[in-house]
Amino acid sequence: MAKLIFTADDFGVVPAIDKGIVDAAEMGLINSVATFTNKDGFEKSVEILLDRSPNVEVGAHLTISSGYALTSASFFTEKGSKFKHYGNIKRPKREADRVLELVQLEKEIRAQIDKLVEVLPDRRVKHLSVHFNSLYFIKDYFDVLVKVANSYDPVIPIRSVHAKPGIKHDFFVGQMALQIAFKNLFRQKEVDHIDEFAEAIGDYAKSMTNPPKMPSLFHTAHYGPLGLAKLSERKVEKLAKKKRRKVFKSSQKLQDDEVCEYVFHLIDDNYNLLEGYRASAKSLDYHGINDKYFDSRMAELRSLKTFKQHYEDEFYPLTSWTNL
Amino acid sequence: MSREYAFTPKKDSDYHEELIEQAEIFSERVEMLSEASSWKDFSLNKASKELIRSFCHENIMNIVWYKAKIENEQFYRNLYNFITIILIFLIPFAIWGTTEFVNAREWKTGEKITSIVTVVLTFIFAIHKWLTAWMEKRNFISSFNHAKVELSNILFRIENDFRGFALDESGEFLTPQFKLALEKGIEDSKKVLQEDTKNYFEKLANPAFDLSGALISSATSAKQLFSQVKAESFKVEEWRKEAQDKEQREAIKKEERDTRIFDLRKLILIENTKYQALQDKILDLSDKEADLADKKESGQSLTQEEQKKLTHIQDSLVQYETNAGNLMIELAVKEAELELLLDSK
Repeated sequence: MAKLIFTADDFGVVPAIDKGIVDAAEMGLINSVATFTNKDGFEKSVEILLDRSPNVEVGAHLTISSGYALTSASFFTEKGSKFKHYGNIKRPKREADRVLELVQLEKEIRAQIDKLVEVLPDRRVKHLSVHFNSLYFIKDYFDVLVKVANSYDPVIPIRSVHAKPGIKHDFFVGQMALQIAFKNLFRQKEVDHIDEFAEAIGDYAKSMTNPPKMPSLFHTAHYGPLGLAKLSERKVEKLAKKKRRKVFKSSQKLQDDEVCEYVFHLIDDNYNLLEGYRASAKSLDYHGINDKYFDSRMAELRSLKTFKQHYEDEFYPLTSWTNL
Repeated sequence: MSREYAFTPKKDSDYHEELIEQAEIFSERVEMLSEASSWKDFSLNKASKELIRSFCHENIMNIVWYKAKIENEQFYRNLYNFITIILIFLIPFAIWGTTEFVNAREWKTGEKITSIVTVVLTFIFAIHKWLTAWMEKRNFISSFNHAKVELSNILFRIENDFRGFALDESGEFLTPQFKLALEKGIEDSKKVLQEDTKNYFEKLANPAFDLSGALISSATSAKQLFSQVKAESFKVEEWRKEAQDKEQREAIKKEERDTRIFDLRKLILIENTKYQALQDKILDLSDKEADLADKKESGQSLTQEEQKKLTHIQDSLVQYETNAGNLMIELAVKEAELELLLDSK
C-alpha cells in the first residue's frame, strides 16, 4: 500500500489559516505543516501548533514571491524589500548578474530555513517546499534549492518534482506556469522558457549527481476551483465531498511502494466568519495569499474531516518525512 | 589771394554775423575791400552796403543753406544704404541660425520658428519698402545741387564781371553797372529759390503707401526667402506630416488595443460565467457520485439503475472536468493578455 503524507501549506501568516491548520493537526487530519518564516509572529504560531500537536512535522515553506525578504535580495524584490509577484519573475540578462542573483537566492533561502531552525525544539526542519513552486520553474533556482537542502545534516527532503502520474501539470502548477510563461513570452522574449523546465524537471532531478531527497509524488489536484464567485455554504459542503472523493480516488492510483505528499490549503471552516477572514487577510501587510480561495480552503478542511471518518483504517497513521 | 567762402551753416542766432562775414568776403573778392579792413570799416554809403548785404542774403546765404541740406540728404542716403547692406548680411544668417539646430522631435518649435521668423521678416521688408519709397520720393539732392549751381553761377558771374570794377573812381560809391548786376543777381536768386522751394515742398509731402499691398508682397517675399535660406535639415512640413502620421498610427493602435481590451473583458466575463456554471454542475454531480460511491464502498450493493447512474455521472464528470480545465487555461491566457494590454497603456 502506498504511503501518504498530508501537508498543510501557508502556515504562519493568516491567523484564520493558522487556526484551521492547528485544529487539523490536533484532530490528526494532517501530519505535516509547511510554514512561512518571513512574517513576524510565525514563531508564536509554530509554538502553539507544536504545543497542541507535538508530533506534527514542521517544514519551511520557502518564498521568493510573497511578503518581504529577510536578506538583501534585490533581484527578487521591489522597493522596500517586498518580493515581486511570481508572474514577474525574470532572470537578469548579464551573466555576472545571474551569478549575483543566485548568490542572493541561496542567502535568502538559508535565512528562511535558519529562522525556523531556531524555533523548533529539535532544531530540525523536516521538509522544504516553495510557495507557488516558484523555484521549480528555473533550472538554476532549482539547483540552489537542492544544494541548500542537501547541505544540512541530516539532509532536508524537498517537495517532490513529480505531480500525480499521467498529468504534466496539475491545476495549480498549470495555471501558474501558464501565467508566467505568457508574461515572459511577451515581455522578454530571450528569457529562459520556464514552462519548458517545468516539463523537464522530473528527468533533470533524476539525472543529478547529488539528487534531492523527496517523496515519489506530490498531489494538489484537489485544489480549486478558480475563486470566481463566493460559494454558498451548501456548495462548500458539496465541494468538500468532491475533494474528499478526489483524494481517495487519486490514492487508489498510487503504487504500493510510492510515497505521495498530499498538499492541502486549509483555513478554519466556520463559514459564518468567511467574510471576516477575507477582510482580515486583506488588511495584512503580506501579499501572495489569495483570499478568493478561502471558501475552497474551508471545503478542504471539511473534506479532510470526512476523509478521516471514512478512511481512517485505510490511510492512517500517515507516513513521516523521516521514513523517506 | 582773396578769402574763400566757407559756406558753413551756423546757428540761426548767428545768422546776422555770418551774413556780415559773407558780405565782407564778397566785398574782398570783388576787391572793394582790402583784406585788412572789415565790413564795419567799409566807408560805403548805407544804401550800397544794404544792397550788397541783400545780395549776400539772397544768394550766398542760400548757397550755404543748400550745401548743408545736400550733406544732410547724403547722410540719409548713406544711412539707408548702410541699413540695407546690414540687412542683406544679417537676414540669411539669422534664418539659418534659427533653423539649423531644430530637429524632427522639435517640429512644433520648428513651426513656431517658421511663423515668428516669417512675421519678423514681413515686418522688416514692409518697413524697408516704406523707407525705400520715402527715399525715392525725397530725391532732393539733384534739385538742391541744381539750385546751388544756379546760385553759384550768379555769384561767380558777378564776381568775375566786377572784380576791381565794383567801385567808381572815388572809391566810395558802387558803379551803376555793379548796382544793376547786384539787383539782377538778387532777382535771379529769388527766382531760383522760388522755383526750387516749390519743388521742395512738393517732394517733402509723405509718399502715398499701399500698406496692404506692401504687407502682402513682403509676406510673400519673406516666405520665399525663408524657404530658400533655411538650413537644409530644417523640414518642418515633412516633420509635421510624419508626426501627424505617427499620431494617427498611434490613435489607430490605441483604438485597436481598447477594442481588444473590451473584447477580452467580454470574453473573460462570458468564460467566467461558463466556468462557474460548469463548476456548479460538477459540484452537483460530484455530490451525487459521492453518495453512490460511498454506498458502494460501504458494502451496500447498488441497484442496476444506481450503477448505471453512477457510471453516467462519472463519465459526465470526466467530460465536465476536461471542459473546465480547458476553460481555465483559456481564462489564464486571456487574463495574462489583458494584464499585458493594461500594463502597456
